[in-house]
Amino acid sequence: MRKIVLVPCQFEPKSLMPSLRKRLEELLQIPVHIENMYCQPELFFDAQRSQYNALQILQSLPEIESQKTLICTAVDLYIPIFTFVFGLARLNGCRGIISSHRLSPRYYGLPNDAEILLKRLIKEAVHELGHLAGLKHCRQFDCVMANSATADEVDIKSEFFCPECHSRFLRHFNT
Amino acid sequence: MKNEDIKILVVDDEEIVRESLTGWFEEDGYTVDNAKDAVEALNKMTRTRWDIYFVDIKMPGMDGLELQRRIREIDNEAIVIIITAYASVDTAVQALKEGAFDYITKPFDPDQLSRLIRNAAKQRRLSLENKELKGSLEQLITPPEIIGSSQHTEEIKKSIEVVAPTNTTVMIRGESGTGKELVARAIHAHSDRRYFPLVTVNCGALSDSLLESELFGHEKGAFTGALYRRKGKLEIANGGTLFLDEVGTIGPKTQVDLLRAIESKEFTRLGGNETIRSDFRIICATNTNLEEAVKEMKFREDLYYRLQVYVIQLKPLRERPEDIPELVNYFIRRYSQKMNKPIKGIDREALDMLMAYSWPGNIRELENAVEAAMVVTKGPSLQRNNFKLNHSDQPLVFSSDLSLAEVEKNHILNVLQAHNWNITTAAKLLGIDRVTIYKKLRKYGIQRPKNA
Ligand SMILES: [Zn+2]
Ligand SMILES: [Zn+2]
Repeated sequence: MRKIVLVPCQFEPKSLMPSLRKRLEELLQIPVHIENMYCQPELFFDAQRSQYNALQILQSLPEIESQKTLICTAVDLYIPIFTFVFGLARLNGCRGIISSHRLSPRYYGLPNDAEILLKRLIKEAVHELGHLAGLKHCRQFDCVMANSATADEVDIKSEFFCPECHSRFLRHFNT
Repeated sequence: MKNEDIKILVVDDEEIVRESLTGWFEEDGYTVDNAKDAVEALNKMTRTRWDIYFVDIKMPGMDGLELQRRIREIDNEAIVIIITAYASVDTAVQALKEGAFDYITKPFDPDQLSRLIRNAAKQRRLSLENKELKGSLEQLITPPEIIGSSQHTEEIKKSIEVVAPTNTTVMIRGESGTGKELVARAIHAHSDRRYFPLVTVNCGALSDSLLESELFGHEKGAFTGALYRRKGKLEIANGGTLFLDEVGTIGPKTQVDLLRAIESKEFTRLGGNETIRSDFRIICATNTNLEEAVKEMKFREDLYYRLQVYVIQLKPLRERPEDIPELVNYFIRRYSQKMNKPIKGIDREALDMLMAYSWPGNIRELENAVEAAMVVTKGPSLQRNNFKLNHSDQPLVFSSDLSLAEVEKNHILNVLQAHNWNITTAAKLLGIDRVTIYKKLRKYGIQRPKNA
């Protein structure tokens, strides 16, 4: 069985990391570890956009086939053709990244709310891990694999896979 | 229609755009491919029907505007979305005027892009559904009606009722003009496939090679003159019924391919290797002696048995003259509506004449005769002199000063004409044997006209 490794990298607030790890392990029934790894988002900062290139950050990480590595950061991520991304992961890849930047209520002018942020982070983490397991977007609105382009849409879906996505996810991790 | 049934082609000279968009749409479950320029895009269009095109407006070589025009020529209803930078929004507006669905500026807002692709896919689904619906509505507007109440016609109606709801292959046999296509339409209209197309192929009207491409479709360049990819009738009939008229004329090569396609419901387009799956029901018709063709090895025996599962045999009109009055009244109603000419019916004398005539062209000839009579009549009803029946086939008029021999000659001729020159039937009716009738034909110099 593969393991999942969370890599905090300029992540805020740090206090959320243990709760995120624990909840992911409960949800996915796969060992989840927190590890440190060399990761320098500053190298991929675009001064014009004031954003960080998610694709290049991912490509700078070592590919470790035996595990799924998920970077957790608080910097604002983009890929060249998009104004921003919440996260990024290649289908069937082994490296992914999520950002709390635009998931935080504070980004939308609202008071800080660690509970809401944690919920959204969990959903985005499961979602990107789903992509790493080869899952595409799901048309069940409450499935965690539903596509969400706004924070509101992240709130609408649940943190769970629908039965179909779940069995695909299990099949990926059990082979 | 699921997302994977929607095919998206991304055309952009920048690799990062192609890769990111392709990846993004793939995650949404669409079927996606990309092309680095217009030439590559046009090539990919000859192989696949794309539903949605994302086209960069600024590309070296042929630009996005020109590519959009080419796409329109091939598929007028395909959805084109223009990718543009802020600097070239004016050109994007021009693209909108020429029918682009929308444009999107780089970099894309993920929310905007997902809404755009959802709307585009919805629009494409609707236009495809409308097209199918329109086709089937046209068939529903004119529900085929089997006219007549002779015992034979009642039996035909019952057969249609029995076989329609099944998926059985039906073979309709009968002389030309007996209404074989009408029966095929009635079967389709009473089947669960009625909301899907009934596709007709007249096999006799096409050469073997044309028939092949008509049935199976072809890829661009499959043969000289194949400028574009074209769907075959087997593919178009998906969900519906394929009516093969004059099935006895199909050439040997197409017979093999057809048999295979019927058995596996799978085939490839000419010049292609993509396997196409289609769910169709076959109804076929013939006016020739297929059994003889099988014996002479002109028609494959295995195909013959595959098609001859349920047979509906239509009698020629002369063997069921009881149907003529109803048919005539039906055609009068139809043409008085069409011509806006209020004709009430037909005179007894005229009807008697029609019932005595042999109708070698069967119901079609009767319909034509009624239509022609409707044109010339000043009526309130059709009269004997409104009809101009085929002279050589018209009952000869007897006059009293004929010799006995002449009367005999005319009578034999009449009987023969009334029964389509069937010597056995005529001999039976005349109360003589076949040898005697041949002798008399020779004696009076009676010859079968070439067109009979
Ligand atoms: Zn996703
Ligand atoms: Zn799902």
